[in-house]
Amino acid sequence: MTIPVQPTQGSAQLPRPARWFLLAPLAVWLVAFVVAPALILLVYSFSERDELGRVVFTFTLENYARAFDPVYLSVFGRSLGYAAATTAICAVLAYPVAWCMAQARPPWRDRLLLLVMIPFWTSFLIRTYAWITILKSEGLLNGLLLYTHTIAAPLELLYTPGAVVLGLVYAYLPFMILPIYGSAEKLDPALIEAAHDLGCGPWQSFARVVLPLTRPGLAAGVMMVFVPAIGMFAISDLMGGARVPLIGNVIQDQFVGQARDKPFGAALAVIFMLIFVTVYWLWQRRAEARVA
Amino acid sequence: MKSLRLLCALLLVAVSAARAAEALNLFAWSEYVPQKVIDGFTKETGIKVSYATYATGEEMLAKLLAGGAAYDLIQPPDYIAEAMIRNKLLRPLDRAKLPNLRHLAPEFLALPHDPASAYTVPWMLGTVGIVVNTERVKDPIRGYRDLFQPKFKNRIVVVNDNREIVSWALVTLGLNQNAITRENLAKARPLIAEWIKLVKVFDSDSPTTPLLNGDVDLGVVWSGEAAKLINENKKFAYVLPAEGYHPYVDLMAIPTTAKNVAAAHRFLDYVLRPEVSKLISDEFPYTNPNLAARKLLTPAQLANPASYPPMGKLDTFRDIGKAAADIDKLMTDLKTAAAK
Amino acid sequence: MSATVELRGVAKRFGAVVAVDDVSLTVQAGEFLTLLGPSGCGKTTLLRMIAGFETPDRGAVLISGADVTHTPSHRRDVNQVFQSYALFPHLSVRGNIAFGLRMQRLAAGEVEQRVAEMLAVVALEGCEERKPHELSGGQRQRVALARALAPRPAVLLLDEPLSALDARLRQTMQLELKRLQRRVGTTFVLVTHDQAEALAMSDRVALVHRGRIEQVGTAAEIYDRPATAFAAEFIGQANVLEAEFIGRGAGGVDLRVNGVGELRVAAAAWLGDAPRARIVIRPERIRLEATQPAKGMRNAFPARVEEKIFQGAQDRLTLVTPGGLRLVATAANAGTGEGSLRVGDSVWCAVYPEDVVILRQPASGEAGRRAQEIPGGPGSAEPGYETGGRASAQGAS
Repeated sequence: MTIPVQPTQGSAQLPRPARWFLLAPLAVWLVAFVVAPALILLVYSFSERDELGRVVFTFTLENYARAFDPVYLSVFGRSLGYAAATTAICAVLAYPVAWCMAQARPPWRDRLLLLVMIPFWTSFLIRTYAWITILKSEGLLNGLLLYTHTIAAPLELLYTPGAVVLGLVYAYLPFMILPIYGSAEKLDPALIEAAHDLGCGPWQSFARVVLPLTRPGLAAGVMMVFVPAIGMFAISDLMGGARVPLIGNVIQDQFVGQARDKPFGAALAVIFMLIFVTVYWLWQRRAEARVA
Repeated sequence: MKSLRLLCALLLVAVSAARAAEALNLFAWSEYVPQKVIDGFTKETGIKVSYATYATGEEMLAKLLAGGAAYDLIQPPDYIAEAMIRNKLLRPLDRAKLPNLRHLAPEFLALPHDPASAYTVPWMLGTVGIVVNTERVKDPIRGYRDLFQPKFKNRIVVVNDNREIVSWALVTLGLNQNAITRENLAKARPLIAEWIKLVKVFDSDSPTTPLLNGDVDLGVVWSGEAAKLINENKKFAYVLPAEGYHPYVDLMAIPTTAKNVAAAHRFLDYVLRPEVSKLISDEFPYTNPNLAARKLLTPAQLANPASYPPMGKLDTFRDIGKAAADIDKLMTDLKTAAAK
Repeated sequence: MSATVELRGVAKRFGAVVAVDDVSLTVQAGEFLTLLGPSGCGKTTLLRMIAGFETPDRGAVLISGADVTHTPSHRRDVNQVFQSYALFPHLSVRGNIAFGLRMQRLAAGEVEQRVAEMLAVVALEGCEERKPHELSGGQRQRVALARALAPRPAVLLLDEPLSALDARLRQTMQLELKRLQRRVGTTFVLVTHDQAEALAMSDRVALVHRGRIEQVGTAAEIYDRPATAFAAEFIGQANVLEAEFIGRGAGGVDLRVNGVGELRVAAAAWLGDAPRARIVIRPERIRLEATQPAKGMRNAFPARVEEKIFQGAQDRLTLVTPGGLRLVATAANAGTGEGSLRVGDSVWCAVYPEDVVILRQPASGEAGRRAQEIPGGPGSAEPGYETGGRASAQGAS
């Protein structure tokens, strides 16, 4: 959004009040809920804590030094791994679903879209507890498998890394389906026919035409899954038994948990944000380079 | 879980701030103050009670310090109360307004966190002990060394509380649980590293759930949770670790920022009444320090080993200040290493 | 000449709708054949069967002599120019044209050479690196052509390739397409609803109507000797009249046409024993005279000018006979002086026996009804069709 800001003094063209008026709610929202909290975090990250966990405003780089301690770097690496696995699985699962939805006839499309949205009608925590009921040792899944004599003893499903990834995939799958569906729906079917016509089998037409043309949706889905997945803490607590600390757990612990070290938590959060901003910036630059 | 509670608390804070003068802002643990008690107080005094909750003492402290809402009455754990008293965040109590104080057993007063009992009144006591599913575990479990054995790998739940876990290792090594020095942490480190590899679930909010669900057979949990579990199923047994254990005292106190100090005193005295205190024990079977209330309990309630274990010397947690960061780093490191 | 495409009794249904109903058609190698018909007539389905996007319910599709009825489109030696062009938006002009070549696994050098060749053929040298959205409509059209021709298919299919262009560009492209086809020698099968386009470009036209092929022939054949009322009306304008058999005479048969009188028609054989038939007279074959021709001359009748529409080189006239029959005729634009007809003028009409075409279809029954429905039928919105239909409906009623 570029609106020319001109000095009122000596200028014939005043900024148009109507435009500013329309922009005001967005600007206020951004300042209040994005810019201000980010600045507070930034200030905190250079501060110290006192014995009660209060923030004492000094200037220290100690929090950043601590953030680069191998302990926290490995937590960070692990979180990246979990988020990457979640994103990859979501993409693989969501793509065919979104594609089938886009190919369905309009009344079915709406119904399928509704089915994707339905999970949002109940609380995320309730849905996570439902998974615990299914996966626990004396749970539904083990019960079914024992009953059908597929297994002899209950499987260890809950409180495993697999359960965490399952919970993450479950929570974020719709955020992958919807953007892919958005770009798949817009894809002209004639383009796929053209690919077949020019000699592409089903797999090649997917790789050479469908995938490149739905890449914006896929990229949006990757963003919408990866970013929240890397910061998630509730699922690793509930479904992973809190055995494996993820970066979200560590940050949460600094703010409301026992560690009581907001400046350190802020430093971790700031590093986190910087990484995202950098990755996004690089990506945008590449996208622009491709267009140009 | 925690985020939900946080949201609820924030909402309640927002609502309560808008209330009229004759109201009491109570800031307490989630699931610790029975609704019956609150309703009874309001009925008798006409004072409305807003009950905001938190999941950890640290969370309570953080929110109190952040300001915004003036809480009249809080429920700090002992070691947090200690730090609050030192930092003049608690108001001295007017003992003349608390005639029911006489019902409390003297051994629960004048503890190290508040040597003169000038600022705090004990609410409930608990211990952290071992729960055993006796149907699945036939070995005798007397303490931490019996519990943390390789054969019980992936069959153990412990509270997700780093300070607790560190203290178990310290007492097992014969060290002072409150001596959180880098040297002591280094000594405890190998032991904790071994233990963590055996644990399947870390959960402070509801540590008995995996025990009930059959996902684990052993646990180190809060005594009140253990007492409820034993009430539900007698196959569970509660064991106080032979290596040593510590009680924790949850207190009631009035912050210096309180607006309605009179109502806070009234509420304090109200919950110290034996018949009211009994209601709390009925719902939350921790150790009740109120001797008159204990007389109203059933023999079964008093016989629950998790509620009323034999208590020796009361060696509670003390405030450790910035050493919390060292514990955090140690535990994060060990958990990460154990997951590899 | 050998057959490049052969359809043998193909049929296709979509639910209750019969899209293609028992069609057989042969396209010769190097031929430019147009499937012409109103929208919804089944011509696009026929094209898609050849391309391999639809499988016929019955019948067979042969390309270069091989049965490809169940061969998927990517294994058919056929390429298509899509109506929307369907250029790959993420690829450059070069990428689009090279697409089919890469699928053939040609060597990079070969691909490069063929792309350059195709760019020269469609006169787009220098646009290699542009993306489709940076091209004009005409340029996109030519990229689509180049992309489809680059793999050197046995048959090039074109689905309404000019419909997205403006009128002037369309005419230029018609000529260009025809020249291109001659140059590359590839068999072209084009689908269009525009009769002018069909007449301008095709070697032969297959007229498609209601899932069937109504008539196949050169443009002149269909125009001069339409087989059905639909053929007569869809291509050019026509007076379709009901006629009654009277008897045989020298060099033809004598018919009675209501509102006109007796007409002698040069026909080798009357249709069997049928007492009635339908005949077609093209408007420009009605010769107009100011005065009555020599007495006793056959095929002459009076009429009055009811309407006159200026069309540049000629005027289009609606005539009414004393018997109340309306006919469409044309008169050369003679200026405003003597000889120019005005509305209300009386005129004499004459028709040569050889200018009257007897339709193969019987006059009554199914076919007759069909002809009547046409003006309001599904194709009535299409240009070049409505005008033909109007004259006939009036003539037939």
